[in-house]
Amino acid sequence: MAHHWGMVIDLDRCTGCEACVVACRAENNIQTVGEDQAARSRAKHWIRVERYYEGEFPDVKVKFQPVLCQQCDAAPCEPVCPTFASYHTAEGLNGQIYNRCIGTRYCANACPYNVRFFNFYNPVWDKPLHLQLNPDVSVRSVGVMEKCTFCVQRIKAAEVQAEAEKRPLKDGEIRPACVQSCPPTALVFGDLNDPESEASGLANSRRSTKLLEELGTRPKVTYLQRDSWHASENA
Amino acid sequence: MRAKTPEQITEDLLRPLRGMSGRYALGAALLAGVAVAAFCAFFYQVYAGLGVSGLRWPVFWGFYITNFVFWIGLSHAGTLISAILRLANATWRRPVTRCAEVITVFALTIGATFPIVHLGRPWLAFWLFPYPSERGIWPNIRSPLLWDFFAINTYLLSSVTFLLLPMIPDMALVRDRATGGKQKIYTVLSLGWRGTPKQWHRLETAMHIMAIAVIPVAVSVHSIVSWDFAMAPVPMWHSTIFAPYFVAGAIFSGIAALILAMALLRKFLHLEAYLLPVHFENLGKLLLVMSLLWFYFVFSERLTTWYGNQTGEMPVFWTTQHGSYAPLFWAMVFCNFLIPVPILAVRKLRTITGTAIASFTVVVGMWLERFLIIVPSLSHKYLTYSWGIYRPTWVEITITAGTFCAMGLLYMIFSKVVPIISIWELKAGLRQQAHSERILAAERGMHALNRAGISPKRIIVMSEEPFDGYSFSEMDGATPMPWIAVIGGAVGGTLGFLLARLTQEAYPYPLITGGMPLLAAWPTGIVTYELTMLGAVLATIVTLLISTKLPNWKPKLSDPEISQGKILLGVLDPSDAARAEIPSRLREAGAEKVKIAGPF
Repeated sequence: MAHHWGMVIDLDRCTGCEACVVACRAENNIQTVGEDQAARSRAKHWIRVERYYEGEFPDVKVKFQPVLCQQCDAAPCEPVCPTFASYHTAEGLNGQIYNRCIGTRYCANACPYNVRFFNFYNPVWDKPLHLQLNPDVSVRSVGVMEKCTFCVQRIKAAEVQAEAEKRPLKDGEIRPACVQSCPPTALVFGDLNDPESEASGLANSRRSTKLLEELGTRPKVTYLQRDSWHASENA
Repeated sequence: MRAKTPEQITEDLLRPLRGMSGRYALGAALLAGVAVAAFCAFFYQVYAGLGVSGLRWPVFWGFYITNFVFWIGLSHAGTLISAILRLANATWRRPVTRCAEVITVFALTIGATFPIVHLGRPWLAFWLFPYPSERGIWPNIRSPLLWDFFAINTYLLSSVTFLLLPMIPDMALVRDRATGGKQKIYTVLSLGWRGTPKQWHRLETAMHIMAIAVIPVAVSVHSIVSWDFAMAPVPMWHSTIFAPYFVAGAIFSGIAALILAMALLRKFLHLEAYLLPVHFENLGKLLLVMSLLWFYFVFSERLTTWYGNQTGEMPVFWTTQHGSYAPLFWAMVFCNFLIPVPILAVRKLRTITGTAIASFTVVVGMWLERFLIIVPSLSHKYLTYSWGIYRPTWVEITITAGTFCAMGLLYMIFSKVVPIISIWELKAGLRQQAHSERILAAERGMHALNRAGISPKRIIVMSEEPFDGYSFSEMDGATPMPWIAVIGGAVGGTLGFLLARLTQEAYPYPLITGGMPLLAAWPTGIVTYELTMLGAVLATIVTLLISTKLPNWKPKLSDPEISQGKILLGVLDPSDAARAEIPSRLREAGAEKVKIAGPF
């Protein structure tokens, strides 16, 4: 059976440190747009940590919620693309083929999670940052959309390696940059088609929930979170 | 006012084609200046990147898509209204149709450029064409943007044809009265039109088919534009009411644009005797109905959203009711409903000035409506963390202003090149009294030729306008054109279905999107439908051109005097005996002039 990649994000573990954000930028050649463009909401964050506050100061509770592409199985971003730049891969990823993209930005509008980003200008890297570009990831030109790929380059590399060694992929062998760099290991990546994988197990836990599940997008990112209902049930 | 003679009509309506005033040149230069500035702004945007616009995360569509919807909506002025009035045989339509159809063609052309202007990589826009590309993939039939592509192109072809076909006889009229280079140009433009009964009959049949075909196409175009929004799960976009809401809004803004254009034409081209208060009165009533209908849709939409109280939708709802977009929203209600309805409902206010003022506010209000549909929703999608704002930059404002000026400029140029009121249709409406003596003479002449034993195949009739019910005008009456159109539609529809099926399922490899089946029934239906209509329209055009032998720039026999209201009744290659006999018979029948031409 084909792999079906998914991620589990434990909100009870997330400290909001944004290590995932930094790691993602370094891994995926995401350009830093600069202060002025960031003030105009042109920053590209394939993964971001949303902060929600509850209560009045000083009695404030804060909740961190890392949001990345949910790799939906019924993704609204895919069918609206006229040129198939956005499509579903055999392993369940929302593929984004930069070379096919003509920049209608329709996918970004259709995405309920606002996790798609547009290259408003041709990317530039201040020296010597250009030397740290990842050779496994293409750099996106002006006018195309980009978004989280679940570090497809790492998935492919691991699959090729496993095939060369004539062995099946091990659970946890593939770790996207955000997962790899998460200090409290709030992020877990794995094959949802493998019932033995850690991600599968966590995704079926009692704490699991999906973001905007009611829209019918069938996201493959699962969030884990205590809530009062489960808490009272567990007590 | 005294009724105009056919000669005066021709004179009045051809006057704008003779030269231009200093005021015209100045106005045109101003408009052209802004339009050029818009072009420069666009090329600057292409050079620098879309970052020079005000677009940003998460508001990825702004002024450009607003303009796209606005102009496509405005294009419903012409062809749709003209087609409805033609089919309803509303006699007052005659001076109105052409200036309405021109709005369609230009507004649609301008509107259709915006999806390209707004692209991140506009130089790749041609990837929407379904062609076997070196990239090995076809366009995605499931994308509403592809439906747009098919619908707008079908609509553009239909409405350009709808405008051009009834222009042919008028081009011939200009040709016959012009001299020198101008005559040469209009000879080409008229396609060698001669005004034989067959040509007239085929032209009217074709127009009838086009009028029937263009109405569903127009409805589908704005429905599809609405589906660009309604297909996405964005708060207050994802609504079943959108298609009829958009179509009603489009007709609403279209009528307003038409009234405005007519008021300006009437003033600047001195068409007071043609564009009468009754036209503004009738169109004003239509605008009133549409204003009420528009409010009905807004009310239904607002009530349902408010009552439904869904968490995703309420932020969008409230921001337009008393949040940051509320001033625009209430301005829109004023412009589209509170101002026009009293003006249009009170007979005393429903004057030319009154309807023009109401139309102006409606055009402004409908632009605001498009903006308010797009931007508040995008800036208030579900996750509050990702809310945003949008402000246009000078680039978008310049391009927007430029398109309004381009519209004005194109309209001004058109009115100097083509009679803005269809001369032959106007005359055909007034015919009965004015032409009766000539018609009777032609009728007698026809009988005389029949009695002389001339084969009907050799008899040639030409006239400046269509007649029906006379023996000289009923030659070659039957045509299978409607059936050919149906067959063309069937062929087009089949090709549309095959295109969808083969490109999505078979070649080169299937691409899954959104968990949908490869050949999803409903989207495939849209493309099949548009190509059905395209097939019918193309079949009609081709049948018309072939059966009337157009274009034929070197006709064997023609006579400029036809364009002075005379009817030509001739015999091709008569025998020697007939040649001696016919002239006297025709004179007896009342011929004004008998000419012997040829041999050819």
